[in-house]
Amino acid sequence: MISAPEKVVPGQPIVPILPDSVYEAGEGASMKKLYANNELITCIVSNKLGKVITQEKDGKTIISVVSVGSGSNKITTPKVGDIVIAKVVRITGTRALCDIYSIETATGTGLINSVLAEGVENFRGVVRSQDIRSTNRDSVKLVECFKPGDIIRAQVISLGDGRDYFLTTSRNDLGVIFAKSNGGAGQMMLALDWQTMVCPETGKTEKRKCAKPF
Amino acid sequence: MNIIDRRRLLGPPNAVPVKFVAETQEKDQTTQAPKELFMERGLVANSNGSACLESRGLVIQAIVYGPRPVQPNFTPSATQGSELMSRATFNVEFEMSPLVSGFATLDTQKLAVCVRDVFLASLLLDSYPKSTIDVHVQCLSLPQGVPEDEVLAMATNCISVALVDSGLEMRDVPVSVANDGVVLTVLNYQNDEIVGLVVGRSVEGLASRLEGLKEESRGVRREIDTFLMK
Repeated sequence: MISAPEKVVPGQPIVPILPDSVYEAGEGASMKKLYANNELITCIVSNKLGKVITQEKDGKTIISVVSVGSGSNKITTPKVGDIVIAKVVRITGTRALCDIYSIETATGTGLINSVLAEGVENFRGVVRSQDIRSTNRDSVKLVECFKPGDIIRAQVISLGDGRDYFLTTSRNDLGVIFAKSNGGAGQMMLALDWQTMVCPETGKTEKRKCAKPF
Repeated sequence: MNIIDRRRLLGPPNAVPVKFVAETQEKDQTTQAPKELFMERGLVANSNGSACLESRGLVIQAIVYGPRPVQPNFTPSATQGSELMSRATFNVEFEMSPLVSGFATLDTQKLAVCVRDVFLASLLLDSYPKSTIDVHVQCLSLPQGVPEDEVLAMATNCISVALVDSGLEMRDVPVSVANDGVVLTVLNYQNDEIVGLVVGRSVEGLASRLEGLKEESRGVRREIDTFLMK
């Protein structure tokens, strides 16, 4: 059993890769070939300042480095397959434009921008009408799925072209998680089923594509 | 001598007037003082990373913003589009603080370009597609007689610490040392790989001097590591 250092700086070797090694590089670490004692040895090297975290998966030990301390905003950009939290900004007949606020990665949730102000440029995402749900994809009415101001949980399906990432909400656990009734003027609504939300104060229902809460 | 003057209030009889010793030349001390390095990081709350380095009166700060979404051009060409998609763009801006005087000879554009090349080789920009990383470097204090190569070396080290503070992924921490017209930047943990070399004028015996500079860079790297690990 090789003992890895607890806290590492960028460039610092963590563990060497021996022929029968079970170690793999995860987030914040990578495999590099370095010279030591005139021999070229493959090592897992840290790419960040932070703590070393080991996870067991399928018989392999995955070594990741997670930032700690004042600068630990967990900087990352959305990658294909990431689950993101976004706010719907605009809807048209065929697509919903969103601002991406945070990402759930393997090592935890991370904010994308350190400042969540209105004027700050956010990463933009687009949910096309055919990617909103998995059934009856052609007869989707966007205005019955999302409204501007809704907070949605979506998955990145593609880096897209231009500035927008392509997102999908076609899983049971993806869709609207928070929404206010009456176009944002009312109270926060609760999900009744995957198509309906209700305002607890007025009892009025509104149509949304909701995410399964649990 | 005892002077008794009843009309005035005199001080104690053994008082002597205060005499100030002439001040020694303080200006020379900035270049002869021991080469201490003061570092601080995480000072700017609304940025992704920041650092401030000071050595013998030279004070430089670096602030990192990013990865931020990048605005693509209205008519991106095929190559531009794929470049935007695959990796982050990295920009460095170098400026002198308005409080600094006598910096007319400092070529801030050249400093920004030299520093940018070092980090293009060290940062893992492929991890941040469709974004831009911006670094703003400002020289807050520049004593007289400090050569340009020392400013370049300090600026590189300052940006290194700011980028580590921001948590961006990098192959290693570039460390820069300057000596008599030569500025060498190496990645110490990657077998002292040279990522930057700026030679101001023709220098003899460059190869042998590089070994000495590499040794000096290891000392600086030890200081930076000790500070980061706190």
